[in-house]
Amino acid sequence: MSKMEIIHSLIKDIPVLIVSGKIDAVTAKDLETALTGHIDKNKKFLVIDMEKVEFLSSSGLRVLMASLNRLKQRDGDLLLAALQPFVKDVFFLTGANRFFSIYPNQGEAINSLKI
Amino acid sequence: MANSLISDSLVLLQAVSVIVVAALLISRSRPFTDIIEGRPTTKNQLLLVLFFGLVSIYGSVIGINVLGAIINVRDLGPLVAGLACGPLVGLGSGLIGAAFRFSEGGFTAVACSLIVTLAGLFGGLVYLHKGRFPGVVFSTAFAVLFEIFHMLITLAISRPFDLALHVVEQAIVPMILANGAGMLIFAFIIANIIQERKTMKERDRYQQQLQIKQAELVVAADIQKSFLPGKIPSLKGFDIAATAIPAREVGGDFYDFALQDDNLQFVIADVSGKGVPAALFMALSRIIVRACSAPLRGGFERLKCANNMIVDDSGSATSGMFVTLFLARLNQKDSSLVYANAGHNPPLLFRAGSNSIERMDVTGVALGMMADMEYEQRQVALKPGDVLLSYTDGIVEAMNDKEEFFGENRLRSALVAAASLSAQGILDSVLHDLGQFTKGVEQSDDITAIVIKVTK
Repeated sequence: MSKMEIIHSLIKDIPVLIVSGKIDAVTAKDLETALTGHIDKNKKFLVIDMEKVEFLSSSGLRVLMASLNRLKQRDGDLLLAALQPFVKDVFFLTGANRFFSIYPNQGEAINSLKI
Repeated sequence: MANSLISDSLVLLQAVSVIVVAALLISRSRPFTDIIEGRPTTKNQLLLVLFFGLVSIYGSVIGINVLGAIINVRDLGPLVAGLACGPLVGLGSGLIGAAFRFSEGGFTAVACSLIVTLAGLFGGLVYLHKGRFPGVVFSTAFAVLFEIFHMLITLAISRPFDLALHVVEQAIVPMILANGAGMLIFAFIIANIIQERKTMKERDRYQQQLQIKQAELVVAADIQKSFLPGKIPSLKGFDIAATAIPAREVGGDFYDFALQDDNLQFVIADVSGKGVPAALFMALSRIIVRACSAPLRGGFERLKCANNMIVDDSGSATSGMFVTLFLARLNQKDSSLVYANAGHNPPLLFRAGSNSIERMDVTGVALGMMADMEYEQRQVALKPGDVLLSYTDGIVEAMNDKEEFFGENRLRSALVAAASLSAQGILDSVLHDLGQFTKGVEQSDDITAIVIKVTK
């Protein structure tokens, strides 16, 4: 029913997760596993390309918040790229947009890190 | 010679077939499964001694007489009895087989009687040593070795030796084949049963745990229901209705009312996620918001206090949990509505005068995301006929079978269409429209709504 896919890649040594589909209560767990996998490997910066994410529930936003907080504790960051209108609404409605670094696309997110 | 070998083997395999059918029947019986599961009673053991004893007798009866000796599957019953049920059943059935074989006479009578007794005993000793049925491969190998042992004993004890040697030459292949095959099938059945019982036990335990969890959830759901206002307070000049429908037993949505003099304060909130984690977070948030927003005076900057408490006390930084919330206070005298919106779906205000809808937009960040956030307070004046619909995202994010959202536009239309009804009528009508839209698609998120209509 609810489907989400994650493609992992590594650009300039920064993990980039290209997520597509719906991030709801069910798929949020898979996203959490994917994110904590990178965070547990002591990565400081993660980029999530959300160009193909059509839906983000509060469960999904919770997972992103939790990962963001863990990364910030080690002076890292969770960079979000290419938010679609619906997903953008969720961030702006809840105010979560204030805490995330949001970029128009993946390239700009990576370049912003100047590594 | 070759021909008789084949025909002898076939006769024995036929006997084995009969034994296997009997084995299938007995293996499903209570005495057998009880013993397999380590609950041997004297009665069950006696019954099985009798059964395997009879199998042994049948193995003798069906045997082929070669020069006064009998090629047979006599050892099979006691072997199985010993390996699967222990030394007592093994030895008992072996003795029955032995008594019968001895009564038949012949020059190998002593050797054969002794051996069938040993079959049960040895099988039982293996069981004792392993503490359980030793498995398919072991049992089959054991049966084959035991038949070789059988032949050696026959040669050692039975006289004249030449005759014994001749009988062994004739018997060794069919007997190893038949007893080995019989044991293989028997062992396979037993191993299957053991596995089946294990699976059943695991399933039972799992179901039991599930029942306990289910019962706990029912209690949790009752507790959570008790958090919701039992009765909606009445305020002169206003008609109020509210509902909360969790998607599962417990949920993360809540609403609350507090009435003091001319002021009715209410809150509608939605915790991220659903189920038990959301319910726990909801219980905590509800109390914090209640404590921080009493008494019903002053500004809603006080949401800052609630936010800080949630961030400090809930571990929301680690879990990422947050709660979106709309807090408002209605004044009965001047029909003013002051509110603050912490990241919550903007409530819709239907204006009867202009037949239009205003949104009560967000004035601050969802609670629990970050400490020290500011919450702005706004105020609107309500007029007779106006309807305020506060809701949670379970309504606008409800999906139909084409995976389309109900969305805010449909909700607006539903509100406008029903605005002339009573508060309860509007609520029912909106939920009815929602039901028509989702049509049988299972509710996936908690649904909560409060309708306040100005009547005066």
